Amino acid sequence: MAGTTNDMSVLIGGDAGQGVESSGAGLCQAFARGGLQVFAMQDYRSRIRGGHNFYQIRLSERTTYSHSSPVHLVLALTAETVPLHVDNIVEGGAVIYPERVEVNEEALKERGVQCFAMPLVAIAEEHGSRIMTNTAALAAAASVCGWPLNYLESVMRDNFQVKGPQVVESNLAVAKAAYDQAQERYAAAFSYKLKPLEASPRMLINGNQAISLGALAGGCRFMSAYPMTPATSIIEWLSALPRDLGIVTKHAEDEIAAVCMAIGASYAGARAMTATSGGGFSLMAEALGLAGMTEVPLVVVEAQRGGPSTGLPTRTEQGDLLFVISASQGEFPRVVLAPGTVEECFEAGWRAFNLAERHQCPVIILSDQFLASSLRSLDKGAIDFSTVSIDRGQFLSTEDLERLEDGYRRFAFTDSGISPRAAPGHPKAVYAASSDEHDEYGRITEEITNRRRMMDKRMRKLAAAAEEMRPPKRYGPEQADLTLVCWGSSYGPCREAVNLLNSNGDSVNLIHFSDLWPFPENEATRMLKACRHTVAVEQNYTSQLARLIRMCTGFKVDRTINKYDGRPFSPEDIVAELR
Amino acid sequence: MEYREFIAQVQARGKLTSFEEAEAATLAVMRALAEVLCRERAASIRTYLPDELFCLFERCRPKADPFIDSQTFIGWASAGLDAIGMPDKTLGGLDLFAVDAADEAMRRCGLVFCVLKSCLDSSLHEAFARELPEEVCDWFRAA
Amino acid sequence: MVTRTDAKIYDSTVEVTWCAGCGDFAILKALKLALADLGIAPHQVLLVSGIGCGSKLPDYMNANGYMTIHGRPLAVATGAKLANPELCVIVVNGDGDSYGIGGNHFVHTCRRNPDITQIVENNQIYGLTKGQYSPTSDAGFITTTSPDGAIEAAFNPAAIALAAGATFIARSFSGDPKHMAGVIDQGVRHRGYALIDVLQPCVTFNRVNTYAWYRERIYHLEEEEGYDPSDRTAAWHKAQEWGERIPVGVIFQVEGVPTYEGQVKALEGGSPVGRLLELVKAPALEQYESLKERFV
Repeated sequence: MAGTTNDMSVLIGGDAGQGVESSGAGLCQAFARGGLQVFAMQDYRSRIRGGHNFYQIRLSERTTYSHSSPVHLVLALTAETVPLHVDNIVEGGAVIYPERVEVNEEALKERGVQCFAMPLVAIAEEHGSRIMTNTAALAAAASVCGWPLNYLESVMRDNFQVKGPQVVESNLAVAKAAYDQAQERYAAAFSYKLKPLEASPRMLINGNQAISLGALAGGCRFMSAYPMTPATSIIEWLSALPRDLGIVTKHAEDEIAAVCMAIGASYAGARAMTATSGGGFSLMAEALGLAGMTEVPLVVVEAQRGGPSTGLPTRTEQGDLLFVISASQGEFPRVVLAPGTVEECFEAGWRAFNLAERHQCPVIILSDQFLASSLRSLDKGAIDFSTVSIDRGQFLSTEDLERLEDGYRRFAFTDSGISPRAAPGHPKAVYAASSDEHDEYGRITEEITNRRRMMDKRMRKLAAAAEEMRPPKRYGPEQADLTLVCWGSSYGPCREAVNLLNSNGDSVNLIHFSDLWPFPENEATRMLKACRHTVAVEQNYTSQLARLIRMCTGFKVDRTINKYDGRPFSPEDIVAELR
Repeated sequence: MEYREFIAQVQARGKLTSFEEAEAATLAVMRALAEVLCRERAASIRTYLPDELFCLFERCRPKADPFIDSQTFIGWASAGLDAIGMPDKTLGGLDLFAVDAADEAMRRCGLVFCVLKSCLDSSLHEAFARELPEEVCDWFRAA
Repeated sequence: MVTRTDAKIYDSTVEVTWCAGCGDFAILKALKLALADLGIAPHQVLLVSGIGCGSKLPDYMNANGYMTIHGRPLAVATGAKLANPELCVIVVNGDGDSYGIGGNHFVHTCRRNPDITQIVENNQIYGLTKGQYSPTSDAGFITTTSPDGAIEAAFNPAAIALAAGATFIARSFSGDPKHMAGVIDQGVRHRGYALIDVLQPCVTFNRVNTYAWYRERIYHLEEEEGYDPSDRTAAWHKAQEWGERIPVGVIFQVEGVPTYEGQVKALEGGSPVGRLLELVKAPALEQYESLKERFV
């Protein structure tokens, strides 16, 4: 049977409550520490017990931007795991399963899938305790792939040290026993192997962490939020940082308080951020207008999930694009970024603040559950802090304030629409801002001429922001028969799909939008018109990007592929749709 | 001057529609005065006022609140005015009478001051005026 | 030291649109007097208001101001205070803004105890939208949205603040600007959240709770012998008192309770505003490199 080296996917499936995520994460780390490139996609539910969850890890020597449908090794911790995933298991693949998990061995064998029954619970109980069954499973998995045990051991030492040396030792004993047994019984029969590479240890990082790191590097020192899946890990990660970094985090009483606190902090002169999902953003809509009207910089991370309403809380979707672009009453400038990779997430983290302060408007980083929680291995050098800049635009420094003449006008009419901004506290810049329409001094007025000029002034800022919007980028050959058009996190699966199709003799490329508002009309038109056949690939029902493109440019894509079941596109899904 | 006569004069001077309305206006202004007069000053005009009006001054404090201004003073009188009958969007949703409430309230203060002055010995007028807040003292002098 | 006459530095040229006789005039005056007495300059103050007649107050005063959205000034103010704890942050809003739509933020701010003073212009009605009943309207109060009389029991700010852990709870009456100035002064001096619920007549729309109505009922706690504002039980009883007798003055006060921001460890080395100013001069990017190890 033909096998592969360093090119496979492992899936761990189980109930909620069995620790699928922590196990999966541990296994990823074990692979990453040995130099492999990892992409891990998580599938979990919003419940604490019951229901099927899985962790799908793709391993490769080259960078992978997505998970992949075909699975080579399945750790089935529950009976339902196998039937749920059997269609994706490749010929020659295998299922490792503990006692008491019923597996239809006949059905598997018919598909050429091997059954690796292991007494994982017994091994766990013998060398440690029942709760270490997952450790046994991971060790067995590593073993049949030929992956040296020491990597898994180092991960366990790190992860379990907080529970004490006894727990660490027991886990190591369990792992060794399972590893040895699996090696003896099954390794030879399994032809999908993993070999460590000469490479410095890589980071395993997800979109939320990357955004947080970027924000921190970009000078964000205030973050208020209300917990909401899948954005919660942002405030948690920032709250866990060393206190002397000085980032003040606040778990507020609700999302409205969260966004208002961020606005207040920004008004006072800090770089402030909040993070939420669609439902929380809905609550924040009014406050967004407050920031827009009073020209207060604000960064909001919106990590989309399956909607509408409570929807699919732990699943992914790209259903809020048009909402985010138009949310809140009336019209005011805002910027919407939709990073597609963890690198872009890091960059968006600090770039958003520069955009927000330069243009004195809200900037929304639109992410989703898939991007927020999928782990990807990244060279440490890929996150380069020297590329980070802090540009406060027309923020008046203390020296600037000293030189101010009398009668500071916070909302002064300027050619660019951007007025020099003072933070409260200096005697020369005492002013009031109002959510009502106001004059240059911030005083409430309904006067006609002022209203026209003030609207013009605010909206003029869109032109300046538009200059900074990056055009969509292309991946693949410059000329192709078919072009996938996508945005945000679909980049990964689309990119891998392009590779798959091209390696099969097709002619495909992709155009990816990561800066969505102000919409890069001219570049988009130019690039799309040059395509022969365009297919929009969207994780939503109504093809929101396609509609946005049409609204802004008149261009109509030829076809759309839509997925709205809460599961992320895999490259194979896209390829199948195109056949 | 008797109580009923005091009210009747307020009504007549101000062309107010009823005795009750004049009474309400008078009581309101007298209560407002009770806020700004110190006990000593109030006591000094006891003999000039009917008992029913003087009793309102019983609550005068040894020292009046120096920060009560014409706005607070007028608030006592404004409350009695009919101002919510017919809201008009061009008046910010207020009743037409409400818009003029300030002027009307001032006018009523003036009416009551006028009758009050006629009760008091004219030598007391200036000293009395000086006890009143800014602007209110002017209304008193002009009444 | 700024003297009382210097209250004029807070004067603004903006035309005031409050109805003549509105209690907000006295509140504005009392606030200016208090700030002047405390020697706090206009640039050191940040007034945060919501939406309503009284929320226009920052527009009418020479000081930093932020007129935000209905119900949310406490949240905005808290963010500003955490970003720059040096600012003297004062929230000014009405009873609907604070106790109705802003109720959630009100309760949590009481527990949170940031060093913010809140003056609630409580006229027991919705004035700006022309006369609907408010959370503090007494039961039976007839308005366009309560044509058969308000059904709910009135919101009791003092009791709720006390239950929620507020460390300074006071009430005043706009007919007594001197008393108000004194209470505001104490509230600003208090290190922690200070609630000052100011009873003020809405001369246009509230025909029940008028100057006369309040005057007949209020009595000053300062004049009640033996009243100890640090006594929580006594304060609870005073907070229940309403109707025929309404106590004004400092109902409850406890000093020495740490403020919220005083306990935020991340603030110990500097404020978000201050640190950013330093980062602009010296990015210090090396401090982040070590964080990469968290992902390995």
